[in-house]
Amino acid sequence: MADGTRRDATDEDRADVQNDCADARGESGTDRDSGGELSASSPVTRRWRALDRGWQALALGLAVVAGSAVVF
Amino acid sequence: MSIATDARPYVAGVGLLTAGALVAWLMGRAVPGLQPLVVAVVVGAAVGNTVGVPTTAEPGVGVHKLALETGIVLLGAAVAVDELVAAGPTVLGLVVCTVGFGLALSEAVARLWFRLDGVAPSLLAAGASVCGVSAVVAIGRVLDARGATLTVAAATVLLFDAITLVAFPIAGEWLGLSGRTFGVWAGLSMFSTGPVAAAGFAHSPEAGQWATVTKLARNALLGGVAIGYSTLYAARSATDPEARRLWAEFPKFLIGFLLVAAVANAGILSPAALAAIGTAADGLFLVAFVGLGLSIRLRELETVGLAPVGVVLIHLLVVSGLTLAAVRLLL
Repeated sequence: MADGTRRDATDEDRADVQNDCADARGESGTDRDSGGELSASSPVTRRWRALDRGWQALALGLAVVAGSAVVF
Repeated sequence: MSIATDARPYVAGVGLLTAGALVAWLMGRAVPGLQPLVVAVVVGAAVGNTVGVPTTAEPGVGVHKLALETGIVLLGAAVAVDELVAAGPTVLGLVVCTVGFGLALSEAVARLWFRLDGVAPSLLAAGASVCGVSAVVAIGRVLDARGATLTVAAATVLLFDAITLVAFPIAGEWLGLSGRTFGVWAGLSMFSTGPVAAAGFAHSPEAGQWATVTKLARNALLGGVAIGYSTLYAARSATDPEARRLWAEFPKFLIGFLLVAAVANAGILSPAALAAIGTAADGLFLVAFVGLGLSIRLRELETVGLAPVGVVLIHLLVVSGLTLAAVRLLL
């Protein structure tokens, strides 16, 4: 069953496909910057970008709910 | 560096998404019967396939995936937990059966009928059965798939995402399905989460909620399917224990969705707060669907081969036919 001619998929290979489904693992929602730009970012930005996109969505969602509860 | 400076590269793209969302919202208000979420996808696809996305806007446009997941977290506030619990075991049973049957069907059709070999049948099966392109990428990573194989499988799924996004709401209308029946049917049969939610909301708000909830249950099986394939192909890494892999594949925003549903159903939030959360979710979905449209590349879809299209078409016809009969019978 295994493909004998298989090789490791590179980052370029993975970038070939568009990942538009809402449940991809690992990927940050704002992770397109290079390592150099990241190291020059503020500590808050660095922490935010290090988060999985699912955690970012969870944090933003809960912030909206908390904000709505306080304001209304 | 300040946070404002860090956010600068995203301004152009987020501005583009917001402008598209505003156009969709205004058109939805101006034309009775026109669903703003569907208009958002059309506006995005029209821009993406004509003028294209400027390089400066690309980082910001990528934020649409985060907007979609945050919108789904907030959708938890609109879900009636008692209704969900009542239908839960039936829907969950349907989800598990559909994913298991879909995987077996696609593998069999691809290998026995279309004579595809290697990991391509598994990528197509995972994409069609679990979660569209994300499943293709995740299973491709587990099975060390070649770039070309990944690209073809992902493009095939994207092609059917575009087709089903239009076809399902028309079929739902034609069949006269209720919001709940249509939502569960779309959630069981369609591929990627964005198009499932868009098709659901194109039918009705109730259908959109059921479609999203059903699709989230399907997405939650991605980790288990990844482990299953990893074991089957004997490609599992000794340094990556199963529990860790399962957690890595798990969509974390699902926890947020459940938390918000619990808070909203506990009666803590006022009606005004619930309305504000609903408005925020609607806005995020509009932004997300403009981005979804922008990501559709019609030219790339033309390069898909006939065999992958045949496999996924048979899967879609058989699974959507069976799930339609099941939801009509059971819900």
